[in-house]
Amino acid sequence: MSVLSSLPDSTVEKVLTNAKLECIATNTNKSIEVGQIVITEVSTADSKRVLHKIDYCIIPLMGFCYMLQYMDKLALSQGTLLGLRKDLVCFGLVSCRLQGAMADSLLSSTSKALNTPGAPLSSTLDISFGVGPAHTSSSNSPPVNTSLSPSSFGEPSSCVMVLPRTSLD
Amino acid sequence: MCHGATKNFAGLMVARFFLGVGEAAVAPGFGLITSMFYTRKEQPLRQASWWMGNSFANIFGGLVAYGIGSITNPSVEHWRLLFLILGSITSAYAIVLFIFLPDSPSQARFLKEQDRQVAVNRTLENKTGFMDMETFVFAQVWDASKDPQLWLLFLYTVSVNFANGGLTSVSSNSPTASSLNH
Repeated sequence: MSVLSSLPDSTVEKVLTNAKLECIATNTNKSIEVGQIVITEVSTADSKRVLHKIDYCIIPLMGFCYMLQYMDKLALSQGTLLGLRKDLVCFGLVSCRLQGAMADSLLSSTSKALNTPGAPLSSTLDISFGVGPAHTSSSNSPPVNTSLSPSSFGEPSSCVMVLPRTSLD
Repeated sequence: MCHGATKNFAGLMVARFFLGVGEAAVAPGFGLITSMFYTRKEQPLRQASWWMGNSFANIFGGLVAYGIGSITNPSVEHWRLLFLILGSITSAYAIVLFIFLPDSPSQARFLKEQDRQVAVNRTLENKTGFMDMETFVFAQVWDASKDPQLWLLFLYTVSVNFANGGLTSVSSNSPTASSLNH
C-alpha cells in the first residue's frame, strides 16, 4: 500500500471509474488503486469551513426527518386519545388490557386499577380471547363503545373490569 | 398516511408494519451518513444532534396532535386527520431528503467540488470506507448473517423495542398518570 504524502494542498482531483479510483495530482500523473490511502494536506481553515457547512446542512436535514419519523410513531398514541380506539374497537380492547398489564409492570405494587394479584396475568392472557368476538361483531357493540367513550379513556380500571363481560355477550 | 384509512385492528397493524419497514432505514442510515461525514472525534456530538429530533417530536408531537384534535367539524375523524396530516408532511419531506441528503461526501450537493475533496480528505483517517461502488454485495450480507454479535444485537434490540413500542403507543393514556387521578 503506497502512500502519497507529498502532494501539495488539496489539489488532488478524483475521478471515479467502475472499479478504479484514479487520483491524478496536478504535478504528478499517478493513478491509484482503490484501497490505497491518499494523504493530502488540507489547511485547517478550509477544513473548519467545510465542517461548519456540513454541520449546517446535514444535521438539520436529518434531525427534522427524525422528528417527523418519531411524530408519525407517536401519532398512534395520540390517535387513541382522538377516538381511534372507539372507531377500531378491537384495538381498544387490546390496548386496554395491555395498559392494565403495563400498569402492573410499571408500578411494582398492584395499583388501584388491578385489585387482585392475579388480575394482570389474566388480563394479559385474555387478549386474543377478547379480540375474537369483538372483531367479528364490530358493527353492533354498543356496550363496548360506551365503556370506551373518551371520558373513560384515562381509567384503565373501568376498561379492564367491564370489557371481558361485554365482549363475550 | 394509510393509518388514516384503516377500518379495523388488522388494517391498522398492516399499516403499522409498513411504517416500520419505511422507518427501519432511518436511524442506521443517518448513523452511516454521520460516520461518513465526520471524524471519529466529531461523531458523538453529531449523532446526538440529529437524534435530538426525537426529543423535539416529543415536545411538539403532543401540541400538533392537540391542535389537530381541536379542529371543529372535520370531514373525517380526528385521529384519521392526525395520521393524514403528519403522513403527508413526512411524505413531502421525503422528496426534500431525496434531493438534498447526500449518499457520501463526494456527492454532497451543498458542497463545491473543491470542498467535497476537503470533506473526503477530512474523514480519511476514519478508515471506515465510503468509496461506494453502488453495488450490493450479497456475499457480505451472508457474511454478516453468520456473525453471532449481530444476532445478539438483534435480540437486544427486539427485546428492548417490544416494551418500547408498547409503552410508546399507549403513552398518551399512561396508566401511571391516570391512576393518580383516582
